[in-house]
Amino acid sequence: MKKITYYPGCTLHSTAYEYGDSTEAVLKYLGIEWQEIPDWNCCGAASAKSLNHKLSILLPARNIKNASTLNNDIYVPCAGCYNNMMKAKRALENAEERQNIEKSLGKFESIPEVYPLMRLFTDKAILEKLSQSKLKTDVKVASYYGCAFVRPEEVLQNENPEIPQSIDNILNAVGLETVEWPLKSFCCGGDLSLADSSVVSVLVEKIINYAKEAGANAIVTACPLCQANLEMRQKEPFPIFYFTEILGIAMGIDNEKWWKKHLVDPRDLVSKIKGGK
Amino acid sequence: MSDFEPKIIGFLCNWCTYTGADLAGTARIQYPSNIRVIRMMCSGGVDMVYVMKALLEGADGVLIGGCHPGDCHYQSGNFKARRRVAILKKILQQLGYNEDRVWLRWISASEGKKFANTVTEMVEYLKKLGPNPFKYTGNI
Amino acid sequence: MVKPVIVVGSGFAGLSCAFHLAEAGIPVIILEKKEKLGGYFPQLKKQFPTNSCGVCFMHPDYPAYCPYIEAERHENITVYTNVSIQNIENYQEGVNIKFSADGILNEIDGQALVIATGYEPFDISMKPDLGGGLYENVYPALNFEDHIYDLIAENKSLPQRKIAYIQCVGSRDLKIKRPYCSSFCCMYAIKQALLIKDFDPDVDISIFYMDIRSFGKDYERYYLSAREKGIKFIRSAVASVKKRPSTGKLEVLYTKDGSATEETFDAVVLSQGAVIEKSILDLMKKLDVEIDFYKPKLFEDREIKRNIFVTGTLYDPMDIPDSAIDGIATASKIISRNMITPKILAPVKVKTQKVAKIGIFLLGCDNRLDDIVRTRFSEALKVKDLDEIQYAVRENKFDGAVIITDDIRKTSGFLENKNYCGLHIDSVVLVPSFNNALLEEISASIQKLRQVKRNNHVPKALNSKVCIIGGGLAGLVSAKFLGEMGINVVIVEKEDRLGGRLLEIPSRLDLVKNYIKYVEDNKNIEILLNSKVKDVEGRLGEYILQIESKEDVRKLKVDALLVTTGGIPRKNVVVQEDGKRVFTIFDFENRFDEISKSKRVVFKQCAGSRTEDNPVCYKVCCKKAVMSAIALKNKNPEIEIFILHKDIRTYGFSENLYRQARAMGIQFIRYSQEPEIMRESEKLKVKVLEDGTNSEFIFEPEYVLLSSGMNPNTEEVAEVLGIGTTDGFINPYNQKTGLLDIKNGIYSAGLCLAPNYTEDVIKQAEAVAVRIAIKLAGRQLYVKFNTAFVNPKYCCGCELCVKACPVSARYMDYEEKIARVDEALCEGCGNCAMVCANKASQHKVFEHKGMLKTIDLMVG
Repeated sequence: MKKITYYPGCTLHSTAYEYGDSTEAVLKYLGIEWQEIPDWNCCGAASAKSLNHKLSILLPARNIKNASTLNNDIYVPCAGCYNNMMKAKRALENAEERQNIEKSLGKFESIPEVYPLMRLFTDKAILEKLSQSKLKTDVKVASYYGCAFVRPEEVLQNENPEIPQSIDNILNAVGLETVEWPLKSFCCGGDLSLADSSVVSVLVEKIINYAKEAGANAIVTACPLCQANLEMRQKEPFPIFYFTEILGIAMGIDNEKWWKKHLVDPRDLVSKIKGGK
Repeated sequence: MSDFEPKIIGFLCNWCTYTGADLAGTARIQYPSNIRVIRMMCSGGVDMVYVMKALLEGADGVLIGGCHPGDCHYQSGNFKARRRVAILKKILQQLGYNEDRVWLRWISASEGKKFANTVTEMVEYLKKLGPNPFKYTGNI
Repeated sequence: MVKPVIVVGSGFAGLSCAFHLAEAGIPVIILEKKEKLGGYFPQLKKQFPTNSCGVCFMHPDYPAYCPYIEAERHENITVYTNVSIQNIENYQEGVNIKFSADGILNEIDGQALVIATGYEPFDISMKPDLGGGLYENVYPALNFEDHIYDLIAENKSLPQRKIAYIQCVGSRDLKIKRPYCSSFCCMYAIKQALLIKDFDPDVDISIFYMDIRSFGKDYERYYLSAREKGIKFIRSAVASVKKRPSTGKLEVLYTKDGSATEETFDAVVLSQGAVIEKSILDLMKKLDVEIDFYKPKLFEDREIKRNIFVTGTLYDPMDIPDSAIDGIATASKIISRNMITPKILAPVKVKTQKVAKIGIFLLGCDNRLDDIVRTRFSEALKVKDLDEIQYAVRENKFDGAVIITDDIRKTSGFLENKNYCGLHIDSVVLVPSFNNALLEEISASIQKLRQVKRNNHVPKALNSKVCIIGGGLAGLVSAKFLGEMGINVVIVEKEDRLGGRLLEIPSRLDLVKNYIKYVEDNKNIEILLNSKVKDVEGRLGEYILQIESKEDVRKLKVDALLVTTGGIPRKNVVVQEDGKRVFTIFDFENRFDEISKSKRVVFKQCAGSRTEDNPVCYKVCCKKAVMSAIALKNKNPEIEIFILHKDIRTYGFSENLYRQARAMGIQFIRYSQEPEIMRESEKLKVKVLEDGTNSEFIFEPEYVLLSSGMNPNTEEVAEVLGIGTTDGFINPYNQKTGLLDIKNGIYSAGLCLAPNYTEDVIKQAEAVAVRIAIKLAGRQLYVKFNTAFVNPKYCCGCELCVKACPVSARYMDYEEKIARVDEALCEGCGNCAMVCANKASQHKVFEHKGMLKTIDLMVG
């Protein structure tokens, strides 16, 4: 049984409830044990990043410290949380900066690895299990990564920002065809949704148009803010899923509760995916 | 005339086209045996009298090969060849003769394939055109 | 025994170096990693700025075949291909190198090693943000060039109607750790665009750039011609190239008028930069040579270790003409450690004018061919090599030979070196074995030989004397080399002292004074001060000069001329120059202390240049301005410096200086409208409209420095010598690689030829000295090939042949009223034979009657 440390962040139990619930359902189905970071706090992605540099490093660093007591790798579903936590991790790898952090938080006995949730599914055994739940459908989707999972490249060293593949691989493993399209990591506008939403509307329109032109019936993403922006600022109904929701459909453990949380009703498409039409 | 094999005389400049033809040979690029090659030092040194002589003797076509414009090893020889061939073609026209039996082509030393293609093209073209009428109109 | 020089890499610089070493009598071993010689230049069928090829003119002895063919011909050159280097060790007197070639291990001990490994084109899949490696309609420039040539050859139109070029892909890019500029990409992108516009004018072409670096000789004109032909130049780095799923076309995202714009193109071509290959970087590491792409110069000195030299694009990214000169300059450094031992041919003297006994030889052909030939020519002999031919000639007393061989070019090269196996130069004919009409060709050759009239050639004797016009740096450097080689030099200098313009620049004073001292001490060098060349007569080997000085007029006989009249700083091109606060950058060094104390300084680049009336780029000003600005900031960190420019042309590794200057806070302001320099009471005012934002800036500097360049000093000398100039700069024989040769016997180097850095002027001077020395060191010009002759009976003195000769080998004998051939200069092209109406002028081997008989035979 694989054991992981899980960091849901602020949204996965609340505004991105469907992401959190589907993630937990999928982990359970695959027999992966998880533990949330004890006494975790907000990662600072929205609250501290542009206001106070020290705080924006200390907040995720505290999460890492608390996680170290569990002795397992940390998996982070939310892009923003992942991005911020990696900044803290890189800071801890620098001797001088580590000293500064330890002054505020105390000594770090160990520093666990930090991975995006998608990395979990590169495990061969897990992929094997996935391929046993194959979908049979003509529906095609476009994988959308957004910025935070892939940039800045030097800090995250996750995957090639221009040609990311992780979500595509996961969806293909359960038999869902993903389209080739150029805007996989094209910015959705992020937090500008609150500060200058007209910018987000322009970007979202482009993303959804290109996805449609490439032949996709929906967009599948892994970032709560991207999902929210893509849903909120689109012009015509176009379903936006989390990849764990798709996995849930494939495994037969999907839940009506998830679809209710979407702003754009995806249930027609869900039955198409299930019904093979 | 289905078994008519045209005879082509080629005046090829030593530095470019002749070397290119040789390259075709050493690289085993096949080109039709219809062409008889005469090496000249420069396409600008090809006397139009020789071209006429070849045609009058009954050659079905004449190919003059030189360096690409701007690359002549003697600076301007190929430009002169171009002008002379243009005038020659006008004269052939006046004589009621098909001026397209004379081809002027720029082929460089590395273009063995282009040489082979040019000869093949010329043979096909001349086959359609038919044999040189001078062949049957007596000796000159 | 002279130890060989090992040249690693057979690109343009490597071959240039190899040929000049070989012609100077030094054995050369070329090690080439790939299977074929040449590197990348054989793929580049058309080169800028002529849009034609011309690489063969780099050869010291033209007309010549393509360089990668010539390398196989030369007696002094040995070629190894498929080479992998195992180990290099240098010691006091030489270099030892262990390598494998075609799997066989070899070891060579040489006197020097020249590393000329050039570059690899940048792998565009490292830039997926520009579509590199992702979409098939995003092309690497090198592949696209092949595509263009194919279309031109097949006379098709370009399938893509709207294309974009993106510059600086793989260069000037910190993210991929390639901070330097590759120097030639701007030019080749313009070249490709011009080629396309030539054969398919309706194609819409846009070139996205940061700076256009067209800094070479006549390159600015080339760039302007591209603008005039409607090629769009858009100054913006490109954010991304994405393929639109519905159309398959490419969306290019860039900045226009301050905001993001997207434009659709059918194809995008990425101008790949130059990358040093990993195995070379490893080699440098093994040699303990540090490679740091962020330094202003990759190598401090061309001789990176004792007896090991670096040349060509590896030394600094450079284009084809520069590579040639760089290779030759490197050769000069090695040659000056030896003496020149040129080949000397002693032409055979014959008693009878016509050939009597002809031998037919099958040189290394296969047996099948033997049988075919022997059916008609039973006397044909099968031989392995030229020595056997020589033996047979002596045994059978042949005085003519027809040699059937697989490789005409190689054999002709070897024949030349073997003194034609004891036969007269006009009595040997080579026949290629791959010939449809082999037997007819052999008969025709025998016919030709029988017709040929042989004369006894007397090689033209040379006195080995060179006149150098202009005693500035270029003239001094060349004089030094020539003097060391034992060649007599006369320097004609119009001022009352040697040294030229550089005497006015403090940092260069020592350099010039060293050369002056050497030249004054060398007995082979004569210096005529206060003198000018007023008249020139003759040709290579027999020039007669009239030299005037204040006191006297004298006549001088020389073999060759070298024009190094240099340049004059362009002053007062911008009207407001007052010499006190507004002056040219030429005076910067002399007034450095004073300027560094000020608060604000403005540099104005391209002063009076790159305009419609004067479409010239003076090349050195950008780097000079940047270096001067850095020096000022270092001395006085508080000083405010503004550099007003059109483009910044810090090419090669000096791009790092540009970046350093920006990091130091030196402001660069781009303009397209001429800035105004005004004087308001005591204050200087500079008004400039910034190009990208259209904002107006007004400065009140203490000093305004104008980068106006150096005008070539050629008006008088061009008239006297009858040579052409463009924008004042001397026109060379071939703009691409015959840069240093002007006419037969006239050479040039330095600022009168093109704007250049001091280092490049020294390079050119060394290179041109080598070329002259190779021609003259043999003390004779021997007859090459088969030359033309004049039958005085038929010559009517119409002079057509004199005008037709491209190498000025024809002259009129006004006493006898006939034309004469200078056999030493005649290259045997046959143009004179063609124009002669009554065939008084003919080519020895292509004699008129013989040709007519040959055509008879061929037609059948």
